[in-house]
Amino acid sequence: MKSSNSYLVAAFVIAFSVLLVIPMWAAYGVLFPKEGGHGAHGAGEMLMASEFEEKTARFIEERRLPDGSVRGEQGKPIYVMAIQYTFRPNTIRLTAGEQYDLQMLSTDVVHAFSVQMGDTSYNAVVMPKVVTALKLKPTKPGTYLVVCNEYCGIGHDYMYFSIIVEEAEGGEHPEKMSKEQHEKMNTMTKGQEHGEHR
Amino acid sequence: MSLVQEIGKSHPDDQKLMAAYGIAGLLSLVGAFALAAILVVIKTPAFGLVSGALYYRMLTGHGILGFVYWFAFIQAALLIAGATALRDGGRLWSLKLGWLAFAFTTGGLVINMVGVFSGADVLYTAFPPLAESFPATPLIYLGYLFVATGAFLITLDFLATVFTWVESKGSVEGWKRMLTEIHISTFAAICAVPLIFSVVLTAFFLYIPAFLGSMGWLALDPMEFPMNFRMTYMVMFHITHYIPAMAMIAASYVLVELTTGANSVYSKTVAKGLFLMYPAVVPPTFVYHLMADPSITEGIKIIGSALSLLVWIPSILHMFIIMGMMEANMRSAGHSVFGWIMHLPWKNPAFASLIMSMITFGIAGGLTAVLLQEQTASLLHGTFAVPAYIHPMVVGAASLTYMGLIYYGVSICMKRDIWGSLIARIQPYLLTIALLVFAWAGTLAGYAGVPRRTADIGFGGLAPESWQTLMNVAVGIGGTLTLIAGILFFVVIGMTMFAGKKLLVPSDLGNDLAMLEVTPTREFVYTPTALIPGVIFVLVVLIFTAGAFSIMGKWPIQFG
Repeated sequence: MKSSNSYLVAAFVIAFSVLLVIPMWAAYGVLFPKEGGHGAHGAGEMLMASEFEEKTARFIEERRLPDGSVRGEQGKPIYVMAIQYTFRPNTIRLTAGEQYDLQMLSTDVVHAFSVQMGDTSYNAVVMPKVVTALKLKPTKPGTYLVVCNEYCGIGHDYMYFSIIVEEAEGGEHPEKMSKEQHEKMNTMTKGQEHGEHR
Repeated sequence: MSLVQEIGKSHPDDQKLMAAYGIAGLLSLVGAFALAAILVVIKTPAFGLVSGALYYRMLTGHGILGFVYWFAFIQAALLIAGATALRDGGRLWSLKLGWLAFAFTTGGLVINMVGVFSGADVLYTAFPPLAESFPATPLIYLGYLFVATGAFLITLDFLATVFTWVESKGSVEGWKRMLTEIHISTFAAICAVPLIFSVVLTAFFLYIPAFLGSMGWLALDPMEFPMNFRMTYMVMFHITHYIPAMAMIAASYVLVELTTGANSVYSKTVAKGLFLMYPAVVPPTFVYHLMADPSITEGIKIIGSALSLLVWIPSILHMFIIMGMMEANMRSAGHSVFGWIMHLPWKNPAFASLIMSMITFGIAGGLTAVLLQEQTASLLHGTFAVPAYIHPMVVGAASLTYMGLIYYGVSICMKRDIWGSLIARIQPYLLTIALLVFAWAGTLAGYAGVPRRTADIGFGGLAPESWQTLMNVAVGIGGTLTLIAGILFFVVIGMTMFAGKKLLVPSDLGNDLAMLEVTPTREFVYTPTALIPGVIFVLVVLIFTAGAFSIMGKWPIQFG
């Protein structure tokens, strides 16, 4: 029986055209739309847990506010340590419009950084030994929940912290937090304590 | 001789081994569904029955039973079928080796289940160093070594059987003749052998030191070993899930022939050649599992992104050929451009399984496109979007095709008609609808940031409110309907085995599974409609990736 091989050729063209999707986006200019810079490019820096722990402790000590939260400084590293079943520090304050350099490391098992932004999220793996480095630039004030989304043990669902983004100038200060933010902070601290004591 | 008669001619001893694998596979699937029922209860926020400790244990058992053992058993049965039933009454090279392989796989299952229920809450990945904190972890690694050995032995038996088909092993002509003669599906199984052996070797490489280390018999570098384990595991895991993908497509060629009697209008060499593409394109694409890992350089991630969609090419083309087989066959009876679709045997549960599996495979495949790209993976990595596409792939595509074959397998081997026609007819459609609800709401939940593998998604009341609604729909409705469809399948198969009406002529099939009768009125060899699913697939990939870039551009926190 003679068959029409032109359909087979057409099928090959259609199947191989799927390979063009990604280069097409690159040509269209939507790839690499990130404003933050090149923090995630290349593999992360290798670092010992003890060294990172020290850096994190120093960072928290230097930047701690009276309410226990920690304020990030533009251009300088913000250290976040992931440990079963908490993040340190557990509340970070940033200012909208500024660019930050976030450095994360786990000191035990593999964790993750999943920041909730309303109806979507940004997700990255946080490992022992290799630093997860991200440039981030908040554009909209608000309180953002960050959860671990890599199973890290039976207390995994108690592992979360928050990033509070504040207005650039004349905006809110920790002392002038809204009632709602105060409530959220209190709930979070309780949750973290529960997680740590499991 | 029809394919049914050919299958029916396989030797009773080989059939027994095949049936043992099939039944053990079905029991593993029953177990996976039973544990899934507990997961559905825990994970549906509306039920309010969150239990972290129980959840992680049940999830570990569910993953191991569903992803490891159901596939290990049923795919071994398919290998034996490819070596015997599709070979005109051919015999397996060594029945003893086949049973030894079965014993190893069953042993692995028992060891793993003892491990899970003794408290190894490590999920089926069992990554060190997390896994080391659970005393029962060595049983997980040991069980995996057993199932890998079982897979190795049965594949060896299959390969040895294939070797016996070549009369003069020194002549290229002899090999060529054998490879041309054999059924497409048997050829596919041969192409899967390099992948199976890679998985088995990697499993030994991973789990022997992991087992010895977890028992304290071998000193492992506490930093290096977990990192190497994770990387090597991803390579193995990646290759592992292309074995069901290949087996599913191979099974589809058998199913389309059994249900519609259609033959390919294109050269069988093309279909066979496409199976050869998998061992070539699968291993280099493993990077797409590691798009959110800091340990991989950007350069490798970009190469990984560029290659990621390569694995879809042979699958899209197989889908075209299979659809084309039906189209040319049906239109030779005089049906119109789309009219032929209406006349397909939609009431045959195996045919419905075949078509529904192709649909879910295409949809779930389209959903993965965003996850596989370096630039967009950060949008969904580790979220509920992952199980939302894995389940339609594993249960909706691969398992549904196997279910279609099981309908025939049980009817032919037991010489019984299908029990409960109506239930059997509904089951594939219900399973598909259920999984599509799960995939749709689950993907939206993933986009909303709901983490996967997390018992309580409340996070002290801080989680967005939409999460509960989406999970109620995905797991509460989609999950429950999937369970019901699964139960219907188990009931039909169980009842057919013991209470199905005995078939008077053993080579016959009952009404439900009878091959569609097509009376050709003209020669028809064109397959334009069969091109449509491929076009839709490419468009879906385009739309999903465009959507992902659009979402990322609007983030209130920009990442770089």
